[in-house]
Amino acid sequence: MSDIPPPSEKALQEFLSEAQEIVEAFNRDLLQLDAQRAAGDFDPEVINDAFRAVHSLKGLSGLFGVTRMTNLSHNLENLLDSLRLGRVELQPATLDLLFEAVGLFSKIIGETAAGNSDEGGNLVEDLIARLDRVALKKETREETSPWGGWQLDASLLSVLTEYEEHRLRENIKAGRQLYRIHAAFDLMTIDKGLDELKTRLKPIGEVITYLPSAESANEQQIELDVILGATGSLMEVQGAVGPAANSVSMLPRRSEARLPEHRSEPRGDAKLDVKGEPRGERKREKPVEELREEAAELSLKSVAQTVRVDIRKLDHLMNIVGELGIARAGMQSVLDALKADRAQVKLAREMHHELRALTRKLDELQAGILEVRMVPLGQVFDKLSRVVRKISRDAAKDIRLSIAGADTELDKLIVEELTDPLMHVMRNCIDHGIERPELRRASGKPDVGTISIRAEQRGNHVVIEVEDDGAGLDEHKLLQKAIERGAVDAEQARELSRRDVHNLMFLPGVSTKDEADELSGRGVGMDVVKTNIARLSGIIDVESEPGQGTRLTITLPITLAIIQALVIRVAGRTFAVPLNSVLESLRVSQADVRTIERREVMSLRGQTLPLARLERLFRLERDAGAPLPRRQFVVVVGLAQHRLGLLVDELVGQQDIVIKSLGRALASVPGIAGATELGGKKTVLVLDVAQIVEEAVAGAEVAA
Amino acid sequence: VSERTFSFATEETYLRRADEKHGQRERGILTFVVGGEVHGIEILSIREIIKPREITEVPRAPRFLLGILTVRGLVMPVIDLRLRLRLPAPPLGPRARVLVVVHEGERFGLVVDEVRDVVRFSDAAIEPPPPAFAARVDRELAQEAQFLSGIGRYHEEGAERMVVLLSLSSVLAFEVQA
Repeated sequence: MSDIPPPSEKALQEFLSEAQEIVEAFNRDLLQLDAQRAAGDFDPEVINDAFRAVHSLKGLSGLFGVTRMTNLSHNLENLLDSLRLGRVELQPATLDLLFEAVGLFSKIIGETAAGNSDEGGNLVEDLIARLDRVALKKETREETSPWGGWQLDASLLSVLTEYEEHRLRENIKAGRQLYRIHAAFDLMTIDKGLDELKTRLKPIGEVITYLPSAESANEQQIELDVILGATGSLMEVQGAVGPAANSVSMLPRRSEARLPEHRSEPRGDAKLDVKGEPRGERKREKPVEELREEAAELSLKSVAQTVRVDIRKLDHLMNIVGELGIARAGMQSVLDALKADRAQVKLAREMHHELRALTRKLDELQAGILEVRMVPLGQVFDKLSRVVRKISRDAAKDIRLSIAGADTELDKLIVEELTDPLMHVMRNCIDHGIERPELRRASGKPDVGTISIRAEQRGNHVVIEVEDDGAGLDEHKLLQKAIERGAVDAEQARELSRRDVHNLMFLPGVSTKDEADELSGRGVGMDVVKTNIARLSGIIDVESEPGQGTRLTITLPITLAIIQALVIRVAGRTFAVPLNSVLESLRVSQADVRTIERREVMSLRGQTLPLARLERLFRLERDAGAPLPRRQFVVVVGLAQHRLGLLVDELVGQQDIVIKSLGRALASVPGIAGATELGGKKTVLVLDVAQIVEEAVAGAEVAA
Repeated sequence: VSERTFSFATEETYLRRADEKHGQRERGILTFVVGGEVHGIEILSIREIIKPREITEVPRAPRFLLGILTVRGLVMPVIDLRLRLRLPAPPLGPRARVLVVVHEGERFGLVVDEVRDVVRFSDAAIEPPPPAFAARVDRELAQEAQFLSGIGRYHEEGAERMVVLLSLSSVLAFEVQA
């Protein structure tokens, strides 16, 4: 499982990263606008860029069903439309709203990434309401003839979008001259040609619109009339245009022209842009229209290359792969029977060959499905950083969050289930770990507290470390609380190691903070965190240094869906041990097993390894007639820093298994993670190694 | 076990029959023998009936919980109804079957000594469980009183027969302690 090729595209992830990119671009546009506004002169093209960004976001989120994002984009679009049409003036307050939208978009992206689609609905509605208030504040437009004596064709005016009309007015208001530039473009390179022309025109004026010319003669060409507003003379314009245009002329002036009806629907920009919008097209003559449609289709296609898949469908596929594995194992036993028959050697060889090919393909299929389930932890981390910002503000503590390893990948299901526990850990760090600024100053630490999250893959596990530079755990208080709760008695307490004391924080009802608060609650935090992590077959550990901080280490398997297991037998029963927690297995004789303080141990490479007998743990009875095996096997399992040797009778072999739940009635059987079918209608139990190790460690404490 | 027994024990038969007697609320009850006594469960909660096969025992589970079984890819706990009802439980005979039932979305296997028939009762023909009567007269009934949902009486071959209707919610209400 460790040589899984790098992940391919994942639909939602792709969408989210694309959305994130757009939001970032939108943010840049806003920053630019802010700077330009401060300078007193802004480029209408920047508002257009912002509008396009939001428009793309609207289309994209619509495709992926992220309604909150679609709604917000839609309303932003309205505001930006009003801005670019000059209906609304760009005020600092308006920009604030737009910046707020950036934050909200990021929040929605983060939440969608983490699989939460219900949160923040109110925030969106609230912002939309405020956006609406601004967008609807239309300024009354002067009704006097705005065309300043220019003679404008009714045919020209009737095809102008509201925006173009607005820009036309602005140009006339600014006393610019209006020019018509007639240019022909090759059908294939029109995008490039037009862009080039625009670039050339940009320094001397503003392209108000371009319209396909009715006089197009050549089928391979599109002829456009570009309407330009510029301050320079005809000569200057001609000079700027260069040889690209067939002709440049100034629009004739006249005093009568009717103003076309306003269209209420905001139009998209008229730029030929491959990344352009599927919506907002205007009616034009055919060639351009077709091109635009093609462009729109192109962008739709690029989005449609990724698909969203219900994780249950993947579970179903995984189940099928598991059953194929069982069928394969069945074929293997047929092959073994064939091999035993000398007359069938040729057939057996052929089957062996075919079976090997099948096995390889099956492995690939499995790896492929697993890979689809993998998502980066960054999805959770993004969410955490927002939470940290909020909680630290509420708690009046300055906190810097540093994140490393956000690209570490884990099974989607685990990532989802991880959000809540990690959130709780963050709250705990901020509320109980990081001290108030004045206290920090007093102990010579910087005012700003640091929480760092690091994730990395180690073999088939992912290790997430959360470290704060706070006060550390109050060992005295922890012990006191644990004794109060009856978790340990005073005598046991004296014998606990520091690490054991630190781990008391995971006991129910133990909290180091006396007053309860809204967020971290009344000490119901860390035990729930531990339970949730254990449910994911993970283990959580704590280390702390007084005055220097606390480090939590969470170790998780990469996936829970399909795992490799070591099949073992003990006392006539078969069990599967998840291979990701098996370090090694070795043969031992009874002489190797020694007893220290009534606990069985053995030495392994100079270290003492505690042993556990599964039959004792599970109270399995051996058949009366069967003698105790003289030689046994030790399966060394380990999670985080804990090691334990399981004494078993027989190692059957390795197999890929699909873990199935035992159902509600048996969900709480300790030490059992689930069951799996091994072929031949045989169902075996899968051990919950984390729980067994824990039980053994707890047992050691009681015995000690 | 007669052929007839199994030909009745399908949902389709039930539905067809239910249609025939449309308008008259009747319940189809699958009857079976547990510990020498006839019990019944509403046929609608039964998914299938299988022959006993190797059951995987689950450590630390109560004794009546024999273990788990995988049927059509689904893992389910298997309960020995005889032990659950605190009735004698001799080794299973050739007629023993596992009833696969669905209760609140989860599957369970119930081991019974023998499957009998499907009988139909109108609601009126089902008596509520008689605790006083059970406690005084019938010791076995008293022991399993907590699992009863009612007693149905019906005529077969001229004789009146009685079936003890089991309440799945109480039979399956158990928790394995951590």
